[in-house]
Amino acid sequence: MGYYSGEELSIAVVSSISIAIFVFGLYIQFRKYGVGKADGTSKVGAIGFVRLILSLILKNIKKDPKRFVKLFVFGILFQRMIFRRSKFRWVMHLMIFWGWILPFIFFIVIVFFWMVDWIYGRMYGVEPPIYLTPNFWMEELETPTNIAEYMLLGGISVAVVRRLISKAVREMSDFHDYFLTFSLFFVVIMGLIAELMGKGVFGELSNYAPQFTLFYEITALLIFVALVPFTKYFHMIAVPLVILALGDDRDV
Amino acid sequence: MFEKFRCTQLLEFDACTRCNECLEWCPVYQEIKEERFVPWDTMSEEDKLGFTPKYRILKMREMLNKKYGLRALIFGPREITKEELERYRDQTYMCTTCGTCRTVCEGRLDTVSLWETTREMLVEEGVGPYGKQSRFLEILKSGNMYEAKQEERLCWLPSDIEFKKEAEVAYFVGCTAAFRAQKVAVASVRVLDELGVPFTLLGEEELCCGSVLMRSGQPSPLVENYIIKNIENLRKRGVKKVVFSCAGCMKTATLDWPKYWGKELPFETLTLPQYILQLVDEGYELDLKPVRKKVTYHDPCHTGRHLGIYEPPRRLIQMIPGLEFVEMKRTRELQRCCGAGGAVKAGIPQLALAISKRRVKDAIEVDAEMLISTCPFCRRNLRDGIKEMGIDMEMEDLMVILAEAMGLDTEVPENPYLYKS
Repeated sequence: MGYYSGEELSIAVVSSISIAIFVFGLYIQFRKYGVGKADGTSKVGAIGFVRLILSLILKNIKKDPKRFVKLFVFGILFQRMIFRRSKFRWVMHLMIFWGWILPFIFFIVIVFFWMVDWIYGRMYGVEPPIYLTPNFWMEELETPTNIAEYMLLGGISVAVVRRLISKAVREMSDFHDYFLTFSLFFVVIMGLIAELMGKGVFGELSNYAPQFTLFYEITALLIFVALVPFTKYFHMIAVPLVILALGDDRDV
Repeated sequence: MFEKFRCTQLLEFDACTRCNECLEWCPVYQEIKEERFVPWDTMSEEDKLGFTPKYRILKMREMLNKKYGLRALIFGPREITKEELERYRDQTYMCTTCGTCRTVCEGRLDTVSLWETTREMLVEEGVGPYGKQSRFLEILKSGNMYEAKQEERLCWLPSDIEFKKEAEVAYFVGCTAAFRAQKVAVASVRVLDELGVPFTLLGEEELCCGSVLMRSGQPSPLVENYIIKNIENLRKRGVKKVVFSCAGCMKTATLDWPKYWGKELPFETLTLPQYILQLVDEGYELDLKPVRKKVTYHDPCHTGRHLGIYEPPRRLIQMIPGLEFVEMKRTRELQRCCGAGGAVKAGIPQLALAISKRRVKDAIEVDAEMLISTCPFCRRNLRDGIKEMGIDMEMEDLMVILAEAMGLDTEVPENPYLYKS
């Protein structure tokens, strides 16, 4: 196990806190759903709910694996339902979805290698091979993360502009919509500024690039991970679960 | 309070993406937004939005979180007031459960099922159902939804029509065709008879399918009793196929009866157009005379969006020579509801009428002389709309048109319900 810089340690701590909050939030939500019925029994609790969801998903896989894959790919990954209603919104939503989901997956990968690094060090008392370290993966995933973040920036900018110029969209938006849109926009813009600072674009201010980057990363973790179960972001978890568990008899 | 819901339904309340798509399509919101129907004395724009599928989902989420959310966990659950529930009852019952919101939902929520369970919850909480719907249970003790005498279930049956005691095919007439839209029942048996199909009828043993109670959130032991008796009576007669002229009965028998029966039904359920086309596909040749009219077809929500039966009635219409068939702008899965469903016709007739007039306008737009449907309930409501608008348009059931094209007599014999029919 190597030595971590203060920045890495801060991120590791905030990541752990964010994940803990995320898991706690999931528990609150699942406990809430567990108030309902499952197989004729009421109040099955959080565990009962998870069990039910897993059993429904497995049932749907067994029932028609081909259809399940189709549902997963077209219903969740490519969100065909939005495509059918509005091509414009579909492009915007997909950019936001993939722009969010890819960095999230990359984050999970990095957390995984943090754990590998830590366990490896404990077990063997030496540093692991380079490809098992989080730093290696952070570098490897930098370009794909940047691409995803630009996608996210594009998508969320369209969402913000829609709310600024369209009265109809504004009227139909409430606090939750604004929070989601603007918090996402805020974090993405922070990321862009952090990147430009790192390249020295802002003159003397660029000297603060490491601190600003750390601030951005912590904010991003809190908003993109910790707050998910407590805000409109949760639909990213709820919608796929509904689609996969209900199976949906409609055309995919 | 929320125990009525399945766990997955409670999850669905959190899966609304607030895309607002349902607002664009909800037939009830359209009437309320344009103030053709005003449910409360004073209505702000926010109040109007409260009747949309999206806001009903968000309100339920809010109530759920009051009891089980993070704040409830830390500081204790908050009270859901009776006034809150009563407002929510109005919003929930002023819904035809047409399911357009389900069709357009980007989160693929099964909204129809959510509305029906919500109604059950409201009934359990003592604030539902709405208005006259609270009499349904009492009315249904008669065995049908019109409080008519069960022994008069077949009072519309022409004397020259013979039905078998036992047969592989049964025609489930339904309360509306038996007591209010008898021409549909007459035409249906005439067509079956002409096709040479040996069929049976349950007669006074036919009990309400249970639709009105289920749609209004009152699935009582009475409903269960009726459903089981209907299934057993059909089974006793050796029935393999049950054909329906009522879309509501067809939906209830297909989707709800198996839940009460606990297994697959011992027979197949089919709409009459589906069954007739089966015979045609097997080689039966229909001898049809021309009917010279420009017609359009209204998909009933129950057989359309809820069961996905779109083509058989259209195929049958197009087989009738002389009929000029035109489609309305909104058809099939995006069809506009007639306004009668979800117990709205009985509970909130002004709303049902307002929506039906809009559907009639859709038919006017395509210059149709006649509206055709395959549901006696849609037929009644759209006829009410036409009458209210004072226009020269006919509304008829496909079975009646088919019977006439086959040269059959669709006159209803004298009976105590004829003037209501």
